[in-house]
This record gives sequence, structure tokens and C-alpha cells, in this order.
Amino acid sequence: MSLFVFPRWANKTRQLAGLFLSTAPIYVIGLVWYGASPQTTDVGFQPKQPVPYSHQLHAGQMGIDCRYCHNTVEKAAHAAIPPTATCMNCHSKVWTTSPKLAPVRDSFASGLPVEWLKVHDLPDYAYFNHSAHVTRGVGCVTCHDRIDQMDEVYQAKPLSMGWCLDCHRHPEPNLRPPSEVTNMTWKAPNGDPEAYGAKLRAENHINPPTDCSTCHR
Amino acid sequence: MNKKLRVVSERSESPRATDTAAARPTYWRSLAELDQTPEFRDAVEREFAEPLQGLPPDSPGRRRFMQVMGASFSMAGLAGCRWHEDKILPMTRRPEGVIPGTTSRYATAMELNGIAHGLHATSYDGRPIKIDGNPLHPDSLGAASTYHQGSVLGVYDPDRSDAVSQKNGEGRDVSTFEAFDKAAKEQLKKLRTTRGEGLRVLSERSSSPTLAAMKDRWLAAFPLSKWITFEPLATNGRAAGTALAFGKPHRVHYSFAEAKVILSLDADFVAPSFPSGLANARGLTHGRTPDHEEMNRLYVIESAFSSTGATADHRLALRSEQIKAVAAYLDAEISAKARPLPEQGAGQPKPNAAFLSDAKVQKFLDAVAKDLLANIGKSIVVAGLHQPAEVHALVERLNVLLGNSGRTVFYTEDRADAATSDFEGLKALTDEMAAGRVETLFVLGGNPAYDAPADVGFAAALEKVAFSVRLGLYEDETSQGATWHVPAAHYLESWGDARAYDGTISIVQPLIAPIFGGRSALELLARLLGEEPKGLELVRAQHKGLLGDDRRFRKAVHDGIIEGSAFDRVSPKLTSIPPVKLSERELSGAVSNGGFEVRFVPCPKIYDGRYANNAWLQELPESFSKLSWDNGAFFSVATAKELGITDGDVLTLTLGGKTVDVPCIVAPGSADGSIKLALGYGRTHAGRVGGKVGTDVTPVGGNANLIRTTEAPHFAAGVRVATSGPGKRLANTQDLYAMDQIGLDGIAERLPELVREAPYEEFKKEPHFAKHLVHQPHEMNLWVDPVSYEGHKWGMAIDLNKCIGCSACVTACQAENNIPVVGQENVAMGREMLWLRVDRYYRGNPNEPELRFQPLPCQQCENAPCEQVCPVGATMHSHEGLNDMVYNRCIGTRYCSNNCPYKVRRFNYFNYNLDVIGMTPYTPTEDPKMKLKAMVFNPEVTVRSRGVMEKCTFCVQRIQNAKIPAKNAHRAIEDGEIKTACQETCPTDAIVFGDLNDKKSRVANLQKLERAYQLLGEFNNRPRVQYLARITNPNPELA
Repeated sequence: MSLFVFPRWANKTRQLAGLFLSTAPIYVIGLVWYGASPQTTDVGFQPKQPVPYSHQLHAGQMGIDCRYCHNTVEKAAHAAIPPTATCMNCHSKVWTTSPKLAPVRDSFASGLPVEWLKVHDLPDYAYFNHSAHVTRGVGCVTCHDRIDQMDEVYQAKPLSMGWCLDCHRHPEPNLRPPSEVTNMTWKAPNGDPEAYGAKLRAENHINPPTDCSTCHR
Repeated sequence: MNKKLRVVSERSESPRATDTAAARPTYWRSLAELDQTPEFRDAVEREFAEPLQGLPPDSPGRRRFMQVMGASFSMAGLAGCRWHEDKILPMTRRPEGVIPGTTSRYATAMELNGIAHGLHATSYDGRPIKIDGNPLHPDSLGAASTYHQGSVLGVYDPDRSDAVSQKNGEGRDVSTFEAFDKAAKEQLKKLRTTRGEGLRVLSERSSSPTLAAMKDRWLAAFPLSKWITFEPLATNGRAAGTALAFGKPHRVHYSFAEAKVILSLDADFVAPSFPSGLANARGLTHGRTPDHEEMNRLYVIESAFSSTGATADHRLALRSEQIKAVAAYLDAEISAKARPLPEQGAGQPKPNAAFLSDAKVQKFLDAVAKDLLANIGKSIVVAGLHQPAEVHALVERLNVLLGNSGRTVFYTEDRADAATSDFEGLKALTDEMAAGRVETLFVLGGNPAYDAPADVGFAAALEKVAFSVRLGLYEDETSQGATWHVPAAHYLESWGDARAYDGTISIVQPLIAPIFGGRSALELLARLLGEEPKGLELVRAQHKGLLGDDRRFRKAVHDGIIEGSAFDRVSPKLTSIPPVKLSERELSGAVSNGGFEVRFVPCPKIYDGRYANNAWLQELPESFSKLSWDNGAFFSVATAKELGITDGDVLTLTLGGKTVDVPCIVAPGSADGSIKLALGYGRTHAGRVGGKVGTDVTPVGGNANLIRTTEAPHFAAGVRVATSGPGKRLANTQDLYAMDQIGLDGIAERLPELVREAPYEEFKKEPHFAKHLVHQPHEMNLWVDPVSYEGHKWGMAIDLNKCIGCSACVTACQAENNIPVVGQENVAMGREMLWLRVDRYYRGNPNEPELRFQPLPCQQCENAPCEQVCPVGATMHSHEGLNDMVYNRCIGTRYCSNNCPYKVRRFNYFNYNLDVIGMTPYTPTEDPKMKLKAMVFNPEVTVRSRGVMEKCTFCVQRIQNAKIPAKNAHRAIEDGEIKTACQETCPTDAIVFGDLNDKKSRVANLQKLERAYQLLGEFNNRPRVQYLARITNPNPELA
């Protein structure tokens, strides 16, 4: 086998090559770190839903409480998407012929579900329980951001494990009285969410676990 | 270098030929280990067993792998940097109180051999995913067996028949319900004019009052027709025997908790196949708790090891046919001393049996008789159901003479026709069919073409029936010859009712609508009779008299039982029993090849074959041989030696000119000359799990029905054994380990410490013996304990006194935790996936051993060796003491399993769920039948893919699902609110889980008992599971 000899012009590019080779790994790692992180891939996910349901209209303008539709959130792990009947509670009387609501009316008549696309999706091996958070005083806005201003729901927070752990390790800034969980504009009364949260934490014996089995089963 | 197994030992009677002057072993795990054969040493030294054909089994192959990966990359695209999209499909109308994504429990019941067992079925989003017992049901008391735990898988079996089919020459055509209904209607119209001549119905045994009433209406509509009942495991010995003793057939019920001395004559009364078996198990083991009260004493005389035999204080191995002479002998002894009344007759004459004059047998029987007579009114004598009528008559006579009737043994009246033989009935029907006298035949359930005895010839006779209809879950052996096959509804899809052994009625309610549109037997018959075809209405109408209004009906459905519906107890009068006839065989001693006895037993996993296509149950290691995916002929050590056969040798058993091929299993403790053979194997049309001829799925095991006859369906004499093929590798889970001689010596030293036991008297003198068996110096930690365990402190206590080795816990764990099935090859290579295992240890002389069971979950060590070696932190310790397993972080180094001293960790060598969940989330299956299989998964537990380690988690999902609601409601968790899957199903309550920090919890108090010990605790790993040492209660005269 013959020996490989670099061509003469490689002498001139030696320094540039050295610079490139030493900075390339940093670049690649940085690219993956930020490009593949949930902040990049998941935040802003806004799938097209079969029915153009606007939270901005219903929850924002009309002020319907989150729990009217997502009524299982205080009792169960899933904050269930409401059954078609919940929509029809109003829409059998209001906007009864709107073409935008045709899929809803079809669903109610046929018994087949409206096929919503999940926006806030965790991996299958991570188990999140809404009731544990909502009953303890973590507001909807903390994880879902200003849903009441979204015409089409998008994921505003990364919902990554690190993001969850940030709160589990330091819950004070995110705590509020359980009666205010659906209040999108609630602020700590004394202007110091840290101190107010600390008070709530002590009063309500809030101890967010950081064990793996909390979420990973 | 001494290559023998170095053991801690005690002297014993007859030394083995291979043994030198060295002392005998106390505990040993298998004969191979004891004998240290070269093959065995070769096998254990190889750490990773050789694949059977070179290629790793079930691997898709490298080329295919690259193809799939390539395809998925091209399909993914950049938009797929996020995992696959999930849809949310809410209901259109949500019933009140239904919360999606949560479970609800419904009471129902399952019938086996005509006896119902009450169950609680857990439904998730409208489908059943788990079965447990019904605490209110007298036969269950909250427990369920392997049969019940495995039954839920059958609902989602892709091999279930999904359409009506009609015979067409040699094949079958898919048809429709409409076509069948039309044809059936026409046929019945003809039959109405002839008043049902030539019409026969063959059904399984059923205690359903609704079906019984329908049967009466059917026979009234067709007076010349006949209804025949057949179950391959049906026995009539008890009914005929009680008729002999009391004048009419009776059922016998027991209260084992009240008994102080129990004698079992070939009766495995704790098995789920025995009526009220699970309740018996609870009663028996309750009486064996040494901590507070006097212990009971159990004597067992049987032909092969059973769960009852494993629990026995004293055991004698005799052939099943010799039991009659034993019963006569005992009657002679006891009648002489118990002073029977004149109308009760004199005792039997002492039988002139060769084997009875054996010194050991004499000593045993005399001690038994003495013990029984010393405990008048506090003893129980039970006979195996397969024993002939005379044995049962004598046994009930003994119960009456010993004063047990009304105190520990109770009687209720049985049906008038209970003493007739199912086998005679089937033979008569088949003769009629073969003679062409049956024009119309309805076969409701069962599988007579497979499980009828060989001399009946049902399959051939079925061809002669002009119009035959088969209602079945699968298109199985019987369906092949039937004109019409109609898919049946599973019991979890049907309305119905059934009675427990004591008569308590349970309403069977469905948890899901029939997935394949199947019909229950009730619905089929109702439609044919022109009645209301809905199961619910039929059942409701049937019980209107007893339950009256809708409110009481709903309560009965909710509870799972109709209170007060049990049969009334009676006190029958004992009459004189004439001297029993004992044949030469029944009096004989040792037998030789050509005259062996064969004992046909229900398989503890697949029963009579109905679960042959149930992968969970096929893979479950059988309690005694730890064999999976096969059946074998069980021989005693002496008989195997005499024949020169060993484990795995393929044998041909010949009886009455018919043969069957099965492998040999050397089972210490079997009676010499008696071969135990499990029914249910060798099925030809079970499906892609159990075997289907014409495909590449070979039938699992050998079909014992091929040598079974109507005259002797339960045990028969005259078997000849011949070796027919080279030895095959058995998928046996007990004998799998990879280690060298030093390791084996180490194990041998440790074995006596794993199962610790002592006789009752010694326990009373030294209660702490279990803790002192191994010197455990006080160990200090090098560092401060990182966790203080102030909140919940989860722990478990397993009572070795109570474990009967039924393995229901193992199947319950598999159902609850989505544990995959790996197949026969992988099990043989040691790649089984079951998280919980029940180890089986023998003790003493291989010719007369005792058997011990030890369930082994993950010990959740506080100082876990596995946690310390994981390079990526995939297994961490929680603040409540659980050893958490994080599947997504695991990279598959398997160092944790290497370091685990208990070997309770399991590795996913392949993607065992490939056919269901696909290779990646981007390649899920589109096959609807595979999607159906996925419905049995428990959504609360991750479904693991290839390359990750998994292990018992103390059912962390159950813990979390109890903790969170409790915290939401600001209340504490009560003791007993969280039950692990294994604990919930255990019939004897051997496994107890709970919070050790709760001073009043059961587990905290059990772990404080003197006889509690930690397994391998001397490693300072501080396991959270403690075992309660086994206490035996030997008779000083027999010691």
C-alpha cells in the first residue's frame, strides 16, 4: 500500500483547517443542543384541528371556565377533551347551522368522535397527572400559557423533563391559591410571587417529588 | 479438585448410587444440579446459551433491519423531528360518572367445569384489561387463579373466529349470521314437526340457572331430542360415592380453617381445578399460621406432587389406583376404634395388599389413623375427585365417623343425575352419530373432537351428522367437521349467570360488546326457540322470582353474588357400605414397564386445552417442572433410572394399542410406576400460539387424549414406555444459570439459607431461628444514608408457610405490567421475561423429597447493587424506597442484572412487541388483528421496546394511582388500599404489601415477626422484602 502524502497546497490551509476542526464540534453540539431541544422542536407546535375551535372566543371573550369543558382535571390524570355533547349543550341552540360546526353536528348525529390532534403531548413513558397539580394550586396558565388568547391552540412551553424539574425543585413562583387555577391573569397580591408562593407551599404542605417513579412507570 | 457439589447437609436414609461417603444434600434445585452431569456443567458454564439454529430467534435479520430503518428515515422528514402525532378521540356522549383514562371494576364470574368463580374485571376506557377475584364470592374471597388471570388475553386473541363459516367439501366458506339464521330456522321448522327426532345438543357443563331453564324449554319444544353434557375433566366419583354412603348424591364442602388434622387421599384440594379450591387454600394455610394458634397437620397420599403435597407435613407417594386399598385399610382401622352405629355398618375388611405391609406405609397409615382419632370433630379427610366411587364413599364414611360432619365437613344435595358419567354420555351420543341416527347436532362450546377419549371417535362421527352447528370461540378441531361454525361470545362479552360450588348465584355481566359479533349459548338457543335474543333480558327474566325488582337485580350485578342463594346444608345419614372390590392391580405393589399407571391431570396453565392458544399461560412455567411451552410425562427418580431415561428424552407411551409422544420429566416425589401427564396439549387447530397443522406453528406438546379411554379417563394402568427420539431441549426456567463450579459451590452453600424452615416445636423453643441461620454481622455504611424514608416506606412480606406454588401471582403480574411473551426458544435460552418467579426447591432424599416454593419479586433493596452500577442512572432509588426503573434512559449495558444477587431483572433482547407496536413509532402496525392484541395492554404501564431492562416495580402505577387521589382528598392511605397485582390475586394471602412506616399496617407487623428474615441479607443490600420462614408440624411418631 502506498503512503498517503498531503498535496503541497494543504500547507497553506493547515491553520484554517485546524481552526475549523477545533470549532466544528462546538458548532455541531450547539446545533443539536438547541436545534433538537424541546424548546425548538415542540414550542410553537400548532396542528390544524378538524374544527376551528377558538379558545380566544370561548374562554377569553366569553369567559367560560376551563373546567366547564375539561371537567375531569381535578379528579383524574387526563384533562379530558370534552365529548361532543358538551359542545352541543350550547350549539344545539346557538350557531346551529354554521358550516364551521358541521363536523361537531355530524359527530353528535353519527356517534363517531371528532378527531382532535393532541397539542401538548408527552412521550408515552412519561405519566402526567393533572389533578395532582390543579388541586394543589398550579394554574393552567403556568403550563399552557395564555390559552385564552389563542385562536388555534399551540404549545407555548417546552414541557421537557428539565422544564418540569425546574418547577418541582423550585415551585414557589408557580403556586397560587387553588381557587385561582383557571384565572389566566392572576398575579401574586403582594407583588412578590416567590414569597407568596413560599407561604402557600408551607400552608398546603406542597412537596413536589423528584423521584423518577413520580412520572416514569 | 473435588468436582462434587459441596453442600451443607444432613444425613438421610438411602444414599444415591452416585454419592460417596459424603453427607446428603438438604436443599437442591434440580436433579441435574445434584448429579452434576457433564452436560449440565457444560450448559451452566456457557454464559450465553447457544442459539438453537445459529440465528438469534425472532430477530428480523440485519438486512431487513436496514430496510426498515431506511424506509422510516425517508418517511420521517424534518417535520417528524417531533414524535408521531397522537389523536384524541372523545366520546360523543359521555355517561355520567365516566372519566376517560381511568379504570372501573365490574363484578362478573367465569365458569370452569360447571363451577363459577366470582371475579372483578377492571375496565379501562371500555375494555377489560385485568381480572381479579371478587372478595364477596365464597369460592374466590378476592383471589383468582392462573386460569382467570390469563382469560382476559383470550378476548383479544387474533385467532378468535370472527365470522360464521360453512363447510364446503374439504374446506370452509366464510358466511354470515343471516345465512346461518335462515338455515337454522328451516332445520328447526322440520324438527318441530318430528318433535325433535334426531336432534341432539352437546354442551359444556354449566351451572347457569338461565341455561337450565332454557334447556327445559328446549326439551319441551323437542320432546324426542336429547341434551348431553360433556367436560373432559368431569368426574362423577364424588356424586356416586356419596350416593353409596348416603343414599343420594351430595356435594362436600370444607372448612379447613377449623380442622386440626387433614388427610388428603390423592386430592389436590387447593388447586383451582378443585371445587372451591382457592377458598380451601385460604382456609388450609390460615390454619398453618404458627404465630398465634396451634398449627394444623396435613397428611397427603398422592401419586405426583401437587400444591397440596408441597404444603404437607407428611407425604406418601402411592399410585392413584392404590388409594382404594388405603381407604379400605383406614376404614378398617378407624371403624374398629370409632364405634359406628349399627345402621352405619361395620368397617371394611383389612385389604390383603402387598404394598400395605411395607413398614414405611404401615407406620404412616397407623400414625394418620391415630392422629385422626385423637382429633374427633376437628379433622378432614378428602378424596381426589378422580378417585372411584368406593373411595369417596369410604372417605365420607370416615368423615362422619370422625365427627367431622357439620363441624369441618358439610354436605349439600347434588343434582339427581350427578352420578352419571359424562364419558358414557358422550360415547352413547357418538355411537348414535356414527350409526346415522343424529341428523341435527348443536355443539355449544367445548371441543369434543379434540378432548373426547380416543375410543370415542367423535371427529369421525361428526362427519356423519347432516346438519351440525358448532358454537365456539375458535375455529378449532370440532369446527373442522361441523356444517356451521358460529363465533361465540367470550364470557367477558356475555350476559349470563352461574353458580359457585356451594350454590351461590353470580350474574355474569359483559365488559365489552362482542368484538366479533359472537353469541353466547343462551342467545343462540333463545334465537332458535324464537325467544327474546338478548342475554340481559333472559337473565333478568330468570331471576325475577328471586330478585323481584330492578333495584335488587342491579345490586346482584354490582355485588357479583345473589345473597342467600347458596344451597342449604343437610346432615345425611350414613348407611352401611358393602365391602369394596379390590382388583389385583389395586392390591399390587411395584409395577414394571408395560404395567405403569398413567394419571391424566388438568394442566395448571391451559386446563383441558381451552387455553392452548393463550400465550401467557403457555409460557408460564408449570408449578413443579418449571416447564413452559410443552408438557411431559412425569416419572419418579427410581422409575426413570429403571427405564434409563432422563429429562428431555422423547418417549412413546403406549396404552391399549394407542400411542402418544411426550418428553420425559424426572419429577422427584412421584410415585414409582405412576406417570403424570397433563391434558390440553397437542392441539392441531388452536391457533398461532397453540399450534395449527398446515402452518409453520407446530402443536405444543403431546396430546394425552390419544391414549385416554372412556373406561379409565382419569388414571389407567398398563402403559408401556419406549424411547422414541433424541432428547430435546426443554424450555425449563428453573435450571438456567450461567456460572462456573465456584459459583455452583457457592450456591450449594447458600441454598439452605434461601428457604428457612423449622418444625413447630423447634420454632416454639427458638423463635428467632430464621434470623440466626446466617451470621449477619452488624454492617456499617461508609457514608450517611442519603434518604431518611420518613414518608411512605414501601415493603413486602412473603409467607413461605402459605405459598402453594400456584403461580397465579406470576400471571397477574404479566397481565398488570404488559410483560411480553418471548416464545419457547427464548425461554430455553434463558431469556424469559416474567418479572416475578416462583422458585421451586426440593429438600431431602430425591426418592422422598419435600417441595418448597419461594416467590421472588424484585427485593427493592435500600442499598441496591443494581443502582450503583448503572452508567446512565436509569435505575434510581425513590424517597419511598422503591427501586425505580427509567426505561427511556436505559442503554442496555445489563450491568445491573449482572450485579443483582437475586437475578430478578429482565432484559428485552428483542422487540417482543414488534408485531403490535411496530419497530418505531413511525412504523406502527396497520394490521387490525394486531391492533386488537394491543388492547390488552395496561395503559398505566409503559410498553417496553428492545434494549431496555425491566423488573418488578411493586406495581408503582397502583401506588401512584392511590397516592394521588388520597393527596387530592387530603386523606391518608389506608393499609390494604394499595395491593400489588401479585398480592391481590394470591389465594392464600401469602404476599402482603404496604407501608412499613404505618405502625398498624399488616406488613410492618409481619416484618417484625421472629420468623421473618431477609434473603441474602448478609450482602448488606437491605432488601425491603422479607420472607417468613416456613414452619412444619411433623408428627413426632413419624419424624
